[in-house]
Amino acid sequence: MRRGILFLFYFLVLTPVGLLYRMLQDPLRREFRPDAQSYLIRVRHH
Amino acid sequence: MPHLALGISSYYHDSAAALVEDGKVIAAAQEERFSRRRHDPSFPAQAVKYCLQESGAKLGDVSTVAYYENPRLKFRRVLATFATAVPYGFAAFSEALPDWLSWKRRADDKVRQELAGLGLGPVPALSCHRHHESHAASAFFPSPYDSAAVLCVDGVGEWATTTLWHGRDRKLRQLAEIRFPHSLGLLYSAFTYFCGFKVDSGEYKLMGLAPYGKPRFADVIRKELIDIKPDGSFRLNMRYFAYLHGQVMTGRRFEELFHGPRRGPEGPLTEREFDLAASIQQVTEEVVGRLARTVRRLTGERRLCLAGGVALNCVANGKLAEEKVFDEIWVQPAAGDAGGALGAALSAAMGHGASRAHLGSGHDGMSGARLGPEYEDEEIRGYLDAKELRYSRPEPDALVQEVVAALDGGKVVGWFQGRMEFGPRALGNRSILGDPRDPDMQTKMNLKIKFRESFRPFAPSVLASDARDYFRLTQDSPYMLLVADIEHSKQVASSPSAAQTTGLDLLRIQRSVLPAVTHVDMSARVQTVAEEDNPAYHRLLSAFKERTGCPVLVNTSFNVRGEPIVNTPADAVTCFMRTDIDMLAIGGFLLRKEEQPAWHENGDWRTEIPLD
Repeated sequence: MRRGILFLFYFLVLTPVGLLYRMLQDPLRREFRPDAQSYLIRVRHH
Repeated sequence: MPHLALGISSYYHDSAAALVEDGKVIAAAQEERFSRRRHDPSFPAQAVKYCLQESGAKLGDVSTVAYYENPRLKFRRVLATFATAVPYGFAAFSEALPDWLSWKRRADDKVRQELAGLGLGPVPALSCHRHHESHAASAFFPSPYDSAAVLCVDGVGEWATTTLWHGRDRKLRQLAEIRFPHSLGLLYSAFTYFCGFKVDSGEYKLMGLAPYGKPRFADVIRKELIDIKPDGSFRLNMRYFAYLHGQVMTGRRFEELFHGPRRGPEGPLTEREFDLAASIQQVTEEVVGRLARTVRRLTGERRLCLAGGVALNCVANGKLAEEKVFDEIWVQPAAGDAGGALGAALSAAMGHGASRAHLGSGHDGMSGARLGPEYEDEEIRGYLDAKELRYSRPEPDALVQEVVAALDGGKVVGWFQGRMEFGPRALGNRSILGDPRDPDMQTKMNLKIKFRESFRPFAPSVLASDARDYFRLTQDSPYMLLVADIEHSKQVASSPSAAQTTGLDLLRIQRSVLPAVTHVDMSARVQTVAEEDNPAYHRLLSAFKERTGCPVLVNTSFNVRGEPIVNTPADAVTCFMRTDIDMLAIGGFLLRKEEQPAWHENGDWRTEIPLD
């Protein structure tokens, strides 16, 4: 039962939302950037 | 009232607890040593009880409980991963999400409940510290430096997988980071998995395998799997990895890249695994070296502190030390997640104005990592008598002389003295010792005592004052976290045919005057022992040197494969009786195997301990 609910949620809700999310702003930033000097994210201190 | 901070790491792997009093580390231990379940991820109830008992405090006396990561932030990362891994991650999603929804996202609440359940008094306020903040604190605050650069590299905590810090006095300032899914720790774990070893456990086996191979895949790794920038920052090509949407590390593309499926657990080791190990080791060293240069440039510091699981890669650490990127490096002995408990406690303590009292003493604040339980002789005697074992109790000097004579005679000795070590290494208090000059010692210890793979090397303990005569060290290595080459004068010229030898056949070649601790690439994972680090162990090494002229012993952890290092006298005696260890020196008592009655156990212990 629980697995069925998770299945429906995953494919009916999470999949379209996730695909859109990934298209607009992928939080995991998968692509190599050959032109970039660095992948370091500098931490700002206020 | 002193300020007491209780640090806790739990629910992933290597759960631990640590207690810090006004900035001084009082006690620290991993839960696995009590539960006897290797890498135990459960709440460290017994480790917490031990830490409180050691200080004589009750839970109500503790000023703050510090948890080693931020579960809510971690949950956001897990959700983002599930969301953007669609539509391929249903299996992982359906397996993991219920736990995250029911309790993992509020792991700190569960810690409070577990603490209350111990019945040790009211639960103090609890603070969550980010995973890498805990690592950085464990690296810098107990270090002997008043200021230093700090580099933390691991698999993943919340988002960060690599962080660069600047530590000064009682403050840590984060400078930069690399975020999930780009992770050097996970890259190394992917190769660990692909070579048939267990993730979060077998990484050190892969490191030990590397010298048998040639780094012929290193260029492929650099071209296809990881883009490394000149400052050491990197990204992984996620097309090759399966950990975003599966419960495994690598998939079909990885297999295609390396010409075949992954090696099965306990399957035969081939040239491919040797070369994969050598290749990923080379890439790891390259990344760590570049990151170290970057953090040096950003901070201007001459000293470096290291933590995170990748900091347990003592070969990479040894290269850093050898290349003199920094004048000196200091590695937290519990660099993995267990050390997060200590880091969180130290971070909380420093936030409350605690001092770093060890500064100026010339030593670090880890007490030689001897932070675990100790057992009195009367307690040990009680156990030996209950088991009707035969023992003697010589004077302390006579005990040392008897042990040294046994070692010189080729015997293997269990050495159980003082407080248990914190971290994955046995440093001379829960150790199995042997004579490093004996060419058969490595095979004997691997196959008859540890019951582990024959390729795995053993480490030497050496008197700090003699270390440079035997090993090309650029600094002391008290926690066995630096690898160094054997000194030229101690190397043995090999025959011309030896140059043609490959793979595990390399084991049969004698390379130095210390064959039992010389790896196939002429390196050794050295522990330097100074008197102030560990007086009892220093005395033993000195006596061995007096008798034999050799200031070195083989030192391996007191356990068998798959088992946590022994904690109690009962654990030690059980391990002694199960294996071919010849003699046990436990507290003031000496046991000889040939004098003991037959040892009976219900069932076959070898099938009860899962292989690591």
